[in-house]
Amino acid sequence: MEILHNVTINHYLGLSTVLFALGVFGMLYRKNAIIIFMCVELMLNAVNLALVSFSKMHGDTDGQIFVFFIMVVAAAEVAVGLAILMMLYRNRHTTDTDTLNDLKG
Amino acid sequence: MEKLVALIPLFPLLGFLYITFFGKNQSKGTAGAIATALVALSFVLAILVFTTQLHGAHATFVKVLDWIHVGSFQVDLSFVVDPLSSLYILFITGVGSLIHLYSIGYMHDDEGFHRFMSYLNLFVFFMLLLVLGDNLLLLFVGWEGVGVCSFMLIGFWYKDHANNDAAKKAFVMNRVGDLGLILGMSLIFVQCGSLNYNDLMIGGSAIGHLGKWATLGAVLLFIGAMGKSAQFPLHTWLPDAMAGPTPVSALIHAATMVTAGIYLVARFSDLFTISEGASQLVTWAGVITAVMGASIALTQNDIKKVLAYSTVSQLGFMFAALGMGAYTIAVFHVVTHAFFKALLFLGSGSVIHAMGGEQDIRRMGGLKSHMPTTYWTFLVGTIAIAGIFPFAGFFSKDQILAHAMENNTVVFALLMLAAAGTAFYMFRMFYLTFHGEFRGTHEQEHHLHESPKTMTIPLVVLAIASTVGGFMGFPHAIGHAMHIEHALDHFLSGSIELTHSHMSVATEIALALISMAIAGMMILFAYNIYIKKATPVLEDAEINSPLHRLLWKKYGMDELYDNLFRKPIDALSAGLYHWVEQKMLLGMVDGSGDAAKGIGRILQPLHNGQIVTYLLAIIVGLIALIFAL
Amino acid sequence: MIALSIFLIPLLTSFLLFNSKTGNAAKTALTSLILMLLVAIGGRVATAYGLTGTLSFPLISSIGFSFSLLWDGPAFLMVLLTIIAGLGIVYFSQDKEIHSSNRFYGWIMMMLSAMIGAFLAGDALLFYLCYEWALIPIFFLILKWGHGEHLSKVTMRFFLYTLFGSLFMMLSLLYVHQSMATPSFDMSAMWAAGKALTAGEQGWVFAGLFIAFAVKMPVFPFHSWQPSTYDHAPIQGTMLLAAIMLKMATFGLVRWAIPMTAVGIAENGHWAILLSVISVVYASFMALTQKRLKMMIAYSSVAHVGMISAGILSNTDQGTVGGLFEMFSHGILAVAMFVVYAIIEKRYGHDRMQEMGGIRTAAPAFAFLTFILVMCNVALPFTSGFVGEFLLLQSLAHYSLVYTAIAGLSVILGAAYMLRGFQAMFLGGNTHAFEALSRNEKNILAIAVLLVIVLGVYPHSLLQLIQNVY
Repeated sequence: MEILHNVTINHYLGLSTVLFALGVFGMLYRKNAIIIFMCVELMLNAVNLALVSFSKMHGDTDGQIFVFFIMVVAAAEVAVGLAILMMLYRNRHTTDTDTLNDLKG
Repeated sequence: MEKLVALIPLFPLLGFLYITFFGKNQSKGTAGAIATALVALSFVLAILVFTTQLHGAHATFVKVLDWIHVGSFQVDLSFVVDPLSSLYILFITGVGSLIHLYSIGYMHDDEGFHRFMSYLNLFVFFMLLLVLGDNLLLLFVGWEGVGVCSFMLIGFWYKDHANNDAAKKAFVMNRVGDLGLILGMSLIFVQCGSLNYNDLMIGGSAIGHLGKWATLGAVLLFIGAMGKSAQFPLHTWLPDAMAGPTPVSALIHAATMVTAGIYLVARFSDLFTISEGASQLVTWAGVITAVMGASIALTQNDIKKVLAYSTVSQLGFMFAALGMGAYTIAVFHVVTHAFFKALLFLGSGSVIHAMGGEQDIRRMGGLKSHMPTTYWTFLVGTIAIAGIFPFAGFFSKDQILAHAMENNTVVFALLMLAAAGTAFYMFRMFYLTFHGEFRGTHEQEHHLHESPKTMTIPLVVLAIASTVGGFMGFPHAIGHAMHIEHALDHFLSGSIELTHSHMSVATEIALALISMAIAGMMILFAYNIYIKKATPVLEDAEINSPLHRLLWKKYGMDELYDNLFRKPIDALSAGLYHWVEQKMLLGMVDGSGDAAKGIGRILQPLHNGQIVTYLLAIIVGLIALIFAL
Repeated sequence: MIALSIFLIPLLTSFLLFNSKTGNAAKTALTSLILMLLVAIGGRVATAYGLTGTLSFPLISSIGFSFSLLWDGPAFLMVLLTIIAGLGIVYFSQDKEIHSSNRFYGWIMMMLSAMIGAFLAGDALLFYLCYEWALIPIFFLILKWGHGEHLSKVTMRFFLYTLFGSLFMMLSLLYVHQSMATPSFDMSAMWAAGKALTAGEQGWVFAGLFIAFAVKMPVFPFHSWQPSTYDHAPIQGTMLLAAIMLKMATFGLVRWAIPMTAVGIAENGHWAILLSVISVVYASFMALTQKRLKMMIAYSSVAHVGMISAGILSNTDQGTVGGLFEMFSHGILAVAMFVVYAIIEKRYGHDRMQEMGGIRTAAPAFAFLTFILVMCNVALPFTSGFVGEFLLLQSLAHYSLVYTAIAGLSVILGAAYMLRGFQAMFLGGNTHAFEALSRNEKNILAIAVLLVIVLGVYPHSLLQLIQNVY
């Protein structure tokens, strides 16, 4: 448990930043809608991590409450988002975002 | 007794409604009899009402219905009985019932007989409203109402578009005048606060509040009168109106409706008296019309057209008299003119009836032996209008001339000229129609016959009226010397301010003799040309001399108006429609829509549908924002 | 309560119709309209015996918005017009083939409800809401049941144009609203606040209101949406637009613009009267050049409305009362004229006037009725058109005799184009087989003609009614 004392807030934030960056780059580079979706989740969790870290550091629970909200919203998002993706796949037999450009002006 | 006046317009209205809605089941005889009887009933009532005014005239008002009450604007359906209106209703219903009677015979073979009688009834109703109304607005109701009846009756034979065009022209030109009347009414109401004769003139003197607007007000009213009474320059509809059946020409376009303008000016004599400028305008419009009408009538060959221009010219005489302040004389001429011009029109109708629809006097001649009653009555009418003593036209016309002589020599000379022309063209027509050889086809000659009793009785009655009618207005000076009162003047003095002539007996007699001598010369002149020398009248194509052609073409007024108003207005509206409406306004609206679309199209490529592009844009934007902050 | 029930009956009917089968849609609408007529007349009588017809309860008190309905003379007059015109429209179309008729009549009833709301509104925001709400049903009516190419373009143009115009009204109303110490949209509060503004401010407030109304009426040069919309709309839609909807705008002038900004109009509103007068003449010229009956009627309607606007804006008793009377008269006339159009169009398959002729020979009664309507259109005395138009001209004369003369040109031009059209269609010798009028068609024209004449000969009662509050 000693090692945990050496872990400062900076480590948590560093991890959080890395996770967030991974999410962003994943979103930009991957074509598969499900992967993109997972990347979004990744970013959310990165934020969650940062919030929990700050909560721990300041010793109040506000951050953790935020996190619960985010988790609830994320759960709802998963439910809706996956449903949309399901329908999308049923209609188009693909989740490749390059071919899904119907909103092209 | 005066209360009965409310029934007078009611009877013809009932006639109209009855024939329109239930007439189909009635025979022509019954429908005609009902229509005639109802107008005759009104005539009887009119006599009763008239007699109440004979002894000590006083204006009585009979209210029938609340009409338009808005704030200070208070107008009722209410009638006025005074000398002027009672005189008018007397001859409207009198001449009207005779013409109804005549129509039974004249229109008997027409499939639209019922319709015709109902329209005539409706016309009489509106005409009575016009003269009986105790306010300008009710006058306007009648004014427009007779206009519509005139429209329906001119275009009575609606299957021929020539008739419809004439009807439309009459209505639209009348509307030009009506606009003047509307504006005049508006001005009077704005300045004087009332449209009731009682407030304006009879009981009060609110008309005086017009002040500096008096001339404008009078001129606007006169514009209305010009339209209805066919005064230059709004006269061109009246000759075209002859497209209607002849009884219509007699009733509407000779005896009654066209004299509504004189009624209006006479009714507002208080206003015209205080406005020198307007009176001058009235005089000169009248004089120009009188001379112009008479000169055109010299060259016309259609029997009804001659009479139409003659009516135009006689109306000019009346307006000239009005303008010179001789209001009672003008009304006197209205009455005598109603007698002899109705007589002449009905006579011409009788001729047309016999000729099987032919109206060109070049195709007539020698009708005297075939239709004696028509001949003799027509002769009476012709003499009356020519102004020979003791027939009706002499008295009224001579008094107008006398007034002109006192007032303005130029006016007098021009009116004298028109009077001379009148004598000539009337006898030209008379000789060509009734004397000489018959010039029509054999078929027509074989068909010639005297008209039925329903048609000749009105002729005889009107002939009697045209003979003795003049004595109700015996010339002042001579009358004074002989102790004969100018009955009409005296009677009308209850409504109209009198302007007395100051002529001596000798001058008056001299004038009468001179004007009769001129008329006589003209008659001899016509006799010389058309009977003695039997000069044939030129066919249309042979008319070559410029003056003759100008007159025959009616001074080219129709073409002028066509080019000056109708065509430019049509072109203007078509042009406005194409350029302003379609191109400019619609272009602007659609243009703003297109502009929005265009801007969208410029920005469109940014929206490529690739979710990645959007995300990149978001992140780049976010980073940029962070750095900017 | 009376006002509320007259507002609610058509609304509920429309909901009922949307949720019903197509079978008896016309009958349902007709029944509901007759009920409304009875309630309206009964309510008017009851009001005379002391019953209060008005109603007001607050909705959003922080901004002073309340649901308040009035029940005075002018409001009653306009409601009566709405009901009578609605009856005419539904009665006329009950035997016509209309697809998904339940929704068709549903939209019509909803439109009537919205317009009644605008006429009865005693609250500026409520007026504005109803004014805008009325656009939605008519939008669908035109889009779904209209015809002709470019239908969607024309409908969008109409919708966007009128919606855009109304925004100016909202700005004006909000300006007056924010000038109050305790903000309220209540009518009397709005009037008082409007009066308290300076003449310059009132001029601007009036400008906003007038532009909104001018688009709806329409007045030159804001009228360009109108002819094509009238042309493409189903005939019932055209009747709704011409007979009732544009009256919301003229009524708005009487109810809101004049009381709030009378001083502003007098000092800075000259341009609006000028536009109205130009509109009268311009539309008359437009009507003169039309070859098609429907377009001619459409433009003649613009001319009439211009006259109403000019008369009302000159702000005299005669102008206000004459304007209201003319709105009523024109509403009836518009329905009747478009019925005439529909009758002819049905039989000829087109409405190009010059290619017709001789209808009078084939259908004399129809010609007779139409002639009286035409005469009402040219404001012949003893028709209702005259009473209104004369009072309006009279009012305008108080303002300027020159304007009266210019507007009065429509007296001549109106006669010219109306008679030209009548002659081309009804007179002349050539005959075309002309199917006799159905009983419905005859009845509706006969009733319209009767109303027109009765109101022309005896306008007294109606005029007194209008003046009830003024």
